[in-house]
Amino acid sequence: MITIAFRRFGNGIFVPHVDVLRNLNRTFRRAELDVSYSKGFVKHMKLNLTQPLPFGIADEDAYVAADVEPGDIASALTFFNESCPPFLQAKAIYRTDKNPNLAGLVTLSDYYLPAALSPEQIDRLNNLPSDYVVRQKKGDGIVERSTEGLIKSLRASSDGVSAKLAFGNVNLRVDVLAQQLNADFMTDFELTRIVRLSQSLVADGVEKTAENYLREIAAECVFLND
Amino acid sequence: MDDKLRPYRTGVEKPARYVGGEYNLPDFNKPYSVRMCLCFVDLYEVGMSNMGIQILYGVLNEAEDVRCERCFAPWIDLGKILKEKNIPLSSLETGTPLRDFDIVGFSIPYEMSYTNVLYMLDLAGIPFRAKDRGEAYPLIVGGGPASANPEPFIDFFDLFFIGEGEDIDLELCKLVEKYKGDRDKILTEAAKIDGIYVPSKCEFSDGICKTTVKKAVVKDLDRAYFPTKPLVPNIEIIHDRSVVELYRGCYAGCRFCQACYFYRPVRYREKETVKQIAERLIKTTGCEEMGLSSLSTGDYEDVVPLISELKDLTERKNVSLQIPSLRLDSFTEGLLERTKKSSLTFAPEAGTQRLRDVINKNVTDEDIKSSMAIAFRAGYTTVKLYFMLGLPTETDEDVLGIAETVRLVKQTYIETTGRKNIFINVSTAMFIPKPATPFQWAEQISGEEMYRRQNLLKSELFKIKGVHYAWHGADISVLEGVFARGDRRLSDVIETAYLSGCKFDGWSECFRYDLWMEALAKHNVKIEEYTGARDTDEALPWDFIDFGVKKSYFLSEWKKALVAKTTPPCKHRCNGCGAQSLASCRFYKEKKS
Repeated sequence: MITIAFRRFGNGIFVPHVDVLRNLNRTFRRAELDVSYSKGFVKHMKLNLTQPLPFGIADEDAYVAADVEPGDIASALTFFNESCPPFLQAKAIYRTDKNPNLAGLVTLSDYYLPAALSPEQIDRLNNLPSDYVVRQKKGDGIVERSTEGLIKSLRASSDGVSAKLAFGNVNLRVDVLAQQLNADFMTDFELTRIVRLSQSLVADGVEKTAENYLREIAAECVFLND
Repeated sequence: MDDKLRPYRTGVEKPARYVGGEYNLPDFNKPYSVRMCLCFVDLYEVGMSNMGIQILYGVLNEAEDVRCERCFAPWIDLGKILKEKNIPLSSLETGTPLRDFDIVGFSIPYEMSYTNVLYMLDLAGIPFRAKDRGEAYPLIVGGGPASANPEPFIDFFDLFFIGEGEDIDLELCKLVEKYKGDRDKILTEAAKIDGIYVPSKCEFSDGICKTTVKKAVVKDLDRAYFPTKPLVPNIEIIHDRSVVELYRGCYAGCRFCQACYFYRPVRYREKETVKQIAERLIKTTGCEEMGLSSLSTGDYEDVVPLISELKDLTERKNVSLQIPSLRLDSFTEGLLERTKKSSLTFAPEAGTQRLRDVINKNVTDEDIKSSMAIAFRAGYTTVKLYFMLGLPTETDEDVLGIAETVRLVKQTYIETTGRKNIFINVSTAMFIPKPATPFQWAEQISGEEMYRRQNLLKSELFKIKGVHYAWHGADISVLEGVFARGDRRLSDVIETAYLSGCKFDGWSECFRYDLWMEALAKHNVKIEEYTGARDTDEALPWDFIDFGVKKSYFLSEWKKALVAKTTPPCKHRCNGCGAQSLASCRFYKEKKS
């Protein structure tokens, strides 16, 4: 079993999650990494992708686990990147005993939301109330939702905002937050310029990034710039 | 690249349509002296499924000194933004406005995409009519399946490719490179090339072109270019698979079928070449499905061993091999081995033997029964059946005969399997007389009559359990009929229809029959003038095209049709259609004197 850490960038932000999965399938096949398949009538490559981001958000820290045992993971990283569409790039490969199930473990995501902010905006954003309310579409209507406990941290500076938000089963969508901030504070956060920087989880009572978690549990790992 | 559209992308449906960046993009750092934009007059998902686009794109980008980019028709939402924000329609690869290219080539798949040519020209800020464009604008070129009769919309083009474009597009690029800046010289020289129709350099009499233009064909398909590193779209497209083309042309000779005659002579890609291409495509695309393309795959000479060998190859790589378009008389148990038992598609086309003889569909009830029995024994429980309504000489008995054929299929299932759980999907299209076919003189029935026959069939099929019936719209079929055999008077109608709001006419949600009727009325064009029967002595707007297949052959086939006399498929006997005059035909045999 291997887990590949990859980036989705550039115009790849417009490629929907289901098509990212399709592109990963094709990349594995082109790279001749023989991932095993399900046994049903319609066979599927056994891939496990971390949870999708909202449409239009770039991702510097996505993961896909694949049921394959390449002899040499350094070569596998090279082949994978040679076989990727231009909007994807593998950053690392981790060899693990079993599927690390990151989709189930990850609870937080770090984002960067670039925008020129005034001192007043910075001040207000850095002092966001703990029960700040966002409005989001639900069905045909709009619902209000408190962000209490969903914004782990938020730090504004003159060129944008760094935020750590709940992600996974309990989730605060970064696009919803950005739109609400734009409405409330006259900020100019553009959805297509938001980047997810990392994913985090809690293991053994300690919060750690997905990358550090994988480094700890992996039997072997290789990084793009090694 | 200056991405003026970036702020608007999240507000439109499927923005990935408009960003390019696919796997296998060619090297755009190579030097070039001619720049062409290949335009497809429908959405990205439709255009990228078109093999012709992939072939032309590959041919041009592998040539020295040529750079080819792509542009697809933007959906209504983005088109509105482009117009409102005054952002010119641009290429996918580099975001270059269309008007900055040397050549803009439109691939036009069928009649109801004509308004989209104007839609794209409009969004690009390029005048519609060739006579209104000077040296400041690119050369506007047309081509594709609609080239069997380019007359209804020829006024919008500087020149038109008749037939297969992969060789002549390069010749045109060479001319543009040599005579850049001298449009008249380019057009004069282009008119000398077989397959290029330059209306401004042709002679006309009573509005009909009198200068013969020979259809372009690829002489040796086995050695012809085929894209083994095609672009792999980032989003799901209509035919989301890698494709190998087996052969062009068709030897069956169904008299309504334009593709059968237009793509003659029959030319093959040999089995070993097909296998080599397939092997390469698995590696370079990574697609989970592979398709075989031709007008009738089951008729390929080595089809059973080919499929067996391809299966060995694809199954090793977990690639699913898809086999489309099977003729009933080409269906064998060998073809079914190791295929998925989901659904099979057949096209009996007509419901009675008499009418099948009229259209030269060399299929009998016995063929239908035996093919179905093979399929049902192999485990198939769903069948799709395609028919046509409104065929020449069709009577109500023929229409009801479709229901009888469906009953025959159902009965065969019960007899073969002992069960009744079959699903039969019946689909009917309306017959549209097409140029370059033996039925080019035939009458097309009226819209009202189309509805009557559809309802007649619907009421009969309703009585059969397990049958689902779908039909092609009558209104759109009438208009297809008008434009299929239209002439130059229709360019005004097309322009008026576009300016009043018609575009994406092939999409039911966009089709505006009322606006088309207004446009026809405005220019005093009567539908019956175009859909009525044509006199066999009458000069037809497309007579100036040398299709290879002789007009006298079409005429003899038309006469045989009227007395329900069949012509055997070319593989049994060369019928001397004339296509051999353009390139070597697989089935040509010289007549002994």
